[in-house]
Parts: sequence; structure tokens; C-alpha cells
Amino acid sequence: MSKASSSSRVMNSYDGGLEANTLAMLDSTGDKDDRDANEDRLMFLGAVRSASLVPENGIPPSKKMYQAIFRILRFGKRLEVITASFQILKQLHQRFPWVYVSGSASSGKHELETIEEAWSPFNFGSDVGSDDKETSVRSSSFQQLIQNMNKGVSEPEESDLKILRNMFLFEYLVHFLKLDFTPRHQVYEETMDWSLLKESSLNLLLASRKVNFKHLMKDCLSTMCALVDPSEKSISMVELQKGSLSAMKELLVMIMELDASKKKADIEGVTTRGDGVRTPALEIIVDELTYDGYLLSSFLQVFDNPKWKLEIVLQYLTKYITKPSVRTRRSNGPPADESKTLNGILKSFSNGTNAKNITKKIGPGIVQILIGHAFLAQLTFANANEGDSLTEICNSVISAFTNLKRVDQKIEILPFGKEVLFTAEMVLKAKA
Amino acid sequence: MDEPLDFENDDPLVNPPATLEQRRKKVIGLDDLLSDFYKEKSKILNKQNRKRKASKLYDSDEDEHGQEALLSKYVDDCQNQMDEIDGEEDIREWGLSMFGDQKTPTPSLHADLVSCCLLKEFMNTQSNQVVDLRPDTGANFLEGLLVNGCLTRLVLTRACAEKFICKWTVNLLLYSSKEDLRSSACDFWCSILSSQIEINGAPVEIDWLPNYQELKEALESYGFRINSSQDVELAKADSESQGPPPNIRAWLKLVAACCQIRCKNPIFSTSQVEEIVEILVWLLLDRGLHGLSLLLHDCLISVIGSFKKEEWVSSCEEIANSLASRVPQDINCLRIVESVSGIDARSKLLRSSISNKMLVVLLDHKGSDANLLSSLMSIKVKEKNCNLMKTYIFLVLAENWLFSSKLAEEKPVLRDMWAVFLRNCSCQINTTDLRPYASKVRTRAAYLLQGCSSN
Repeated sequence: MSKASSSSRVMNSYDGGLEANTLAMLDSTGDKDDRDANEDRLMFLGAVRSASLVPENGIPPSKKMYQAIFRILRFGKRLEVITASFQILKQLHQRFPWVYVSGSASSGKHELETIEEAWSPFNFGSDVGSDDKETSVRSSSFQQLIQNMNKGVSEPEESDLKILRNMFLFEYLVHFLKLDFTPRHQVYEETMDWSLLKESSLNLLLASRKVNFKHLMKDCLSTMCALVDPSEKSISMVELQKGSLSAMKELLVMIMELDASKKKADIEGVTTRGDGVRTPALEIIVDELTYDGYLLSSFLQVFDNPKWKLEIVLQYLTKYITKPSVRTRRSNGPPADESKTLNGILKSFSNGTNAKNITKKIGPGIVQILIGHAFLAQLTFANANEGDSLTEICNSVISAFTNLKRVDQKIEILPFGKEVLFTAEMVLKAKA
Repeated sequence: MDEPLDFENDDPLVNPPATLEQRRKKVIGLDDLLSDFYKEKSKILNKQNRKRKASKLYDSDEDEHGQEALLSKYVDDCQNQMDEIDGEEDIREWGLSMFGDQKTPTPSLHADLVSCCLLKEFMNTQSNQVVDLRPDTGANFLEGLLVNGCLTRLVLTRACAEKFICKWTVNLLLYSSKEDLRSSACDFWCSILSSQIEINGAPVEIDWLPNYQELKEALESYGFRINSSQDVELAKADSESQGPPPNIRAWLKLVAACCQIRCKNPIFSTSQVEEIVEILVWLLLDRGLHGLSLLLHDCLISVIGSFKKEEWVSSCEEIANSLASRVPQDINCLRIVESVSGIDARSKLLRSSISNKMLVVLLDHKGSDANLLSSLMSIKVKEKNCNLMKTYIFLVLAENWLFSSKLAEEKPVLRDMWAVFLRNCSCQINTTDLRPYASKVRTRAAYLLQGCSSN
């Protein structure tokens, strides 16, 4: 029943003749060179545009049409068509969202609206229709895509077109995941209805047994750091790499948000065994960064989401700092949260022996990088009204750095450390 | 086995089939002509040799003249056929080269470092014992501060950007040859500008803003042919123009950010924003910047959005007129129209106006809308000397003119005339018509005609 009604809806919105005629533009018999095929595709995209996007009451493309546009993005042979299909897909998603938040702000109640059987570039099912097989992206190919991007960046012999196409594809897929995730996450925060996030494309993608989550996170990190490679490149390449880079950051943030939501749902007891267990991304990232100091500094330099950056650094530092004091804290009963804020951690640096121990364990350079980035992230949240805490944190940073020097004269303050010190000092000056 | 990400062999549409070479050979036939020519030539030589053998007293002068004439006739024939074939293939792609030689950038601001209050203030603090900042190391220090994001964070937290820092960062953004410096400077400006319109958080007090003249000078130093009296050049495949420096990216982002806050702080005047729209459209025509096309489109949307409501209709007219007067009368016309997204109300109006003005220029026309369409209707597509490339351009321009606005809805007469034009194009051109653009005109018209009749 539901299938019949949904297909009749499709017929109403995009009449069969129009679909066939538009798709026919791509039906060349094959005796065309790249340029003609290119022209056909541009004409097809133009037709989609004028049917769906230009009229105020444009008709949403059918699944077949979406698939055809996506095919062009994946297999197009020229930058022009790849860009055009990328752009039109984004415009179509904006015009015809498949999941969105409804309900008025005044009533305070939001609900999630989803379009049944909407098209998706992903295919998480086990049985795949033969014509979709090569076009739709499966969990394993998403992982492979990220690996290939990493390769593409570091190996110059990869063909340019392939690199460009991979980057566009990746950016688009993350864009799709985000459009799918954000409204679900918003309503989940209000309703705590885990099923909303459980059905998100992101969760389906990561829950697949074909994805090795740990490897995926490692690949993300190394690709991210490879994308900032400063060597000379064409303008187009620089632009695309920036796009892929910010997509990668968005992906990481989304995954960490999903993990946090799942943890909440676990505590609420609304998840089931079917939801599976996986190590949270945050932990994997912190572990990776602990092993590799170079990765640490380049990651923190690139990753600019202040909330999660702070979270990552605090988790890193607490591994070394809170452990010895946990027992005493428990018995004495001061707020346990103290040790998990930046200020609390910085305070432990004011004690000479503590500072010495931590510096010895983590290394003087890494300590500066961690404190510096956490401080900058914290500044993002510093509201003008919270003058006191701002002053406090700047003072703590300054004393932490001066203490480092006091602990061991041989410790060299990194240029970045000096810049952080400068920043803290000048924020204080402005407050004075 | 299942390798969905390996694209190379997957697409039957784009994988040119093996028959392509043979077909092409048949069409072009140049190789055939040449081999025919050589066959003929060798026959003549053989004949000549036989004749020589037959009669040693033979006077060859006259015959050689004959051969020469024959030879040149063959060459001419070859040439003619080649020309014909060329004509057939002559479907030019869009592309203009908007950039000439780069000029040397203006000297940097290092000398003025003493006037940086931020550095001066810090040097008197106790912390400077650790940092050890001296006037001679100030420049390097400031660069590090910028690249690591400290400067941006500091300025946002202090909610004020002093003049020196503003000028210094703009200079890096526009002229630095180091990617990390220019992109950090760009991030700096995007942050402090967007702080002006953010709801929470204090807006940064900006002591100095770049003006349009400075941005324009930068663009000129990148080699951009900015002056409308300079004719734009068609792109050549072997063009040795180096194109713009990578700073153009930062330039675009800065312009977009300036326009986004225009409602609160009009950095540019109306006529300057009009000029910026034109510049962006021209940049979209340069294939060298094709990789930036998404950035250019976003920038164009920001700039178009920055006009005041009451300004837009007249500004739209201005922009359209100016673009139409300068555009080469070829396939680039269409690229110009397509560079305007035409999805929201504003860009629809712009797309429609540009199409209209270009039609007026191309048809050399000064009459009513109906007249414009009747001259389209009178095009005789059947006639052999009808310029089908122009017809194709007319077709696309008219479609955009009529349907990016409400014109076709409001005036059914225009719609009917449009349908007649479409019918002419789709029915009077034969499927076997081999003229360049014949099939393009026919297919497009046929498709559009369906849309016409179904409504």
C-alpha cells in the first residue's frame, strides 16, 4: 500500500514524460566524444534546473533524476560538468529537503519531518539494484574514498581529474550527511528520541560492519593533515583542498556529536544491543595524537571547532593530570568537575612539583601546544560579561608559562607559546 | 571485484567507443585525400618515367607545367575540403582570458612596525621577559601571531582592531606570496567583518577599512583587464598568460565579506557594487579560474544580496547594459547568463535583464518586447546561410529572458510568439542537417516546446 501511494506521489510531482524526455538527453548512442557528452550533460543539468529550481513551485526531481545527476558528479570527465552537478545537487537539497524541523518557535515544540523513500547517494542495504550498484556509495567505498584522498594528495602521479573528482565527491557526501544529521540532532536534543539519530545516514554509515571505525578515524586525521600541505599548487587545487579540509572537520565534529548523543541515550537506557558498541571518536583521536607529536601540532592548528578542540585537549591532559589526585578528591569531596575545566588544569600547573611532573610526562613542547590551543579555544566562549573568569584564565595561562621556565631554566618556550603568552597578556591589558 | 570508486571504466556514456576513430576518419577524410593525392602523384611519376624511357628526346618542360597545375589543383582541393570540415567542427567553447601580465606589488608595510600599538604595549609588560620581543623581531612575531590564529582571537576578544593591524593584514591578504599568510589574513578579515552582524558577541571596532579603490588596484596588479575600453580577449589554447596570482581567492573572500555587512556598514557605494558584480561575471568567463567557480558563485550571491531593495531594479539594468555592451558576440554570451544562478528573486531579475539586453545588442534592436520576438520568429532556419550558432544563442537568451522573470506569465502573447519560434527551430531543421549547431538548436527547441505545451 505505502509503496503504491509513494509512487503515485512521484508521478504527480514529476510526470513520467518529462522525466523520460529529460533523461533522454543523456541517452547518447555512444558515438560522441568527451566534448559532446559534456554538452549533453550540461544541457541535462540545465533542464533539471529549469524544471525544479527556477519556477517558484518547481517540481522535485525523481529518484532516477537525482541518480543521474549524481552519476555525473561521480563519473564526469570534465571539471565543468562535475562542478555543475555538485552545485545543482546542493541547490536541490536546499530547495527540497528530505528531513527538516517543523513546529513553531513560540510553542517550543519542534518535530522532525522526513520524506519517505527520499533519494540518497548512499546505499547501506545489502541488496543493490543492478543499475544503482556502481553509482551509490556504500560504507566501504566511503572509507576507501577517504584513503584515496590521502593518496591523491601525497602522490603527484594520480591524475588530476581523479583527485578533483574525489574531493568534490567527498565534499558533497559530507554535505549530504550534514543536512541529514543537523535537524535530527536538533530535535533529538529536545526530545531525546534516539531513533531519530539512529536512522541518520551518518549513523547507518558508521554502524556498517564493513567500516573499520578506528581505521576510518585514523585516515581522517592523516588526510586532514595532508590537506594542509603548503607546497605550490594551482589556485583550483588550493580552493578544493580548503573545501575538502573543512568538510573533513565537519565530518569529525558530526561524528563526535553523534557519539556524545549516543552516550546520553545509553545512559537513558534507550539504546539496544542492536545499536552496537564502538570506541568514541574522541578517544581514538586523543590516542592517535598521544602517539604522534607532529600530528598533534598540525591537527590542533587545523581543527578549529572550539568546543571539540577544547574537549580533545582536556581529555588529553586529564589522562596525565587527574589520575593521582582522583582518590584524594573523592574522599574530600570538592567539585569533581574542577579537574576537567581548563582553569582547573592550569591551576595544577601553579604547583611547582605538579608542573614538573606533568612536563616530564608529556614533554615541554607538547605541554605548551596543548595549553595554548585550549586557551585559544576557551577565549572563543569568553563572553564579555564573564570578565572575571576571562581574567582568571589569562592569569592562569601566564603563570603556567612562567612556571614552566621556573621549573626548568632549560625549557625553551616555543614561538607558539610566546604568542599565546602575548595573547593572554594583551587580553588582560584590555580588561584593565 | 566490487570497486565502485574506480571510475575509469564505468561510464559507457563518456568512454568513447572504438568506432570513434573510424567515424572521424570518414567525416574528415583528410587522410583519404592525402593518400589519393599520393596515389595520383605516383601514377604520374610512373607515366613520366615510362614516357622518358619511350622517348629520350622528349621535351619535358610543357608536361611539368601541366603536372604543376594538377598538383596545385589537388592542394587547393585538399585545402577547400579541409576548410569545409573545419566549419563543421567549429563549435567554440566559452572562455575569455581576463588576465594580462601581473604588475609588481606595492612594497610591504614592515617599516611602519613601530606604529603598532599592540606590540608597543606588550614590550612594557613583565611577560616580555619570557617572550623577549624587540622592535627588530616584531615583524616575524606578528606573522606567527597571525598564522597561528592568536591575532584573530585576540582582536575578537578585545573587540577592537587598530589601524596598523588592519592595514598590515589587508596588505598581506592582497599581495603576500605566502599561502599561510594570505589565507590567515583572509580569515582574520572575514572574522572581524562578520562580527559586525553576529547576534551574540561584541562587534569589533575596526579602525580602518579597505576602500574600493584599493581593492581595484590590487585586481589590476594581478593583471585583470578592468577597463571597459580594453576589449576582452578570446582565450587561446596556447595562451602564455600566467593568470592571476593565488591572492585572487583572498580578494574574492574579502569582497564577499565586505558586501555581507553592507546593510550595516556600506563600505562600497552602489555604483561600486555594480562594478563588482560585473567583475565577478567576467571572472567566471576565465577558464583559468574555473576551479574557483563555486567561490565566485557564492561571492556573486553575497554581492547581489548587498544591494538595497530600492536600488536593485535600476542597478540590475545598469549591470546588464554594461555587460551586454562589452561581451563578444559568441558562445560567451551564454556563459555570462549562466553565471548568474537565477534561482532567487534577485538573481532571476539579473539573469532576465542580461539576456534581454544581450538580445537587444545582438539583434541590433530598439523596439518592444513583441518586436524582439517577432524578429526571432522571422529567422529562416531552413536557409543554408542562416547562422545557426547565432540562432542557438538567441534561443537560450530568449528562454532566460522570458522564464527567469514573470514576463511569459504576464504576457501570453509573448508566450505564443515564443512557441512559434520554438516550433520553427524544432520542425524546420531536419534531423539529417549537418550544419554546425543544427542539432543543438533542434533538440533544445524541441525540449522547450514540450514544456510550453504541457503548461
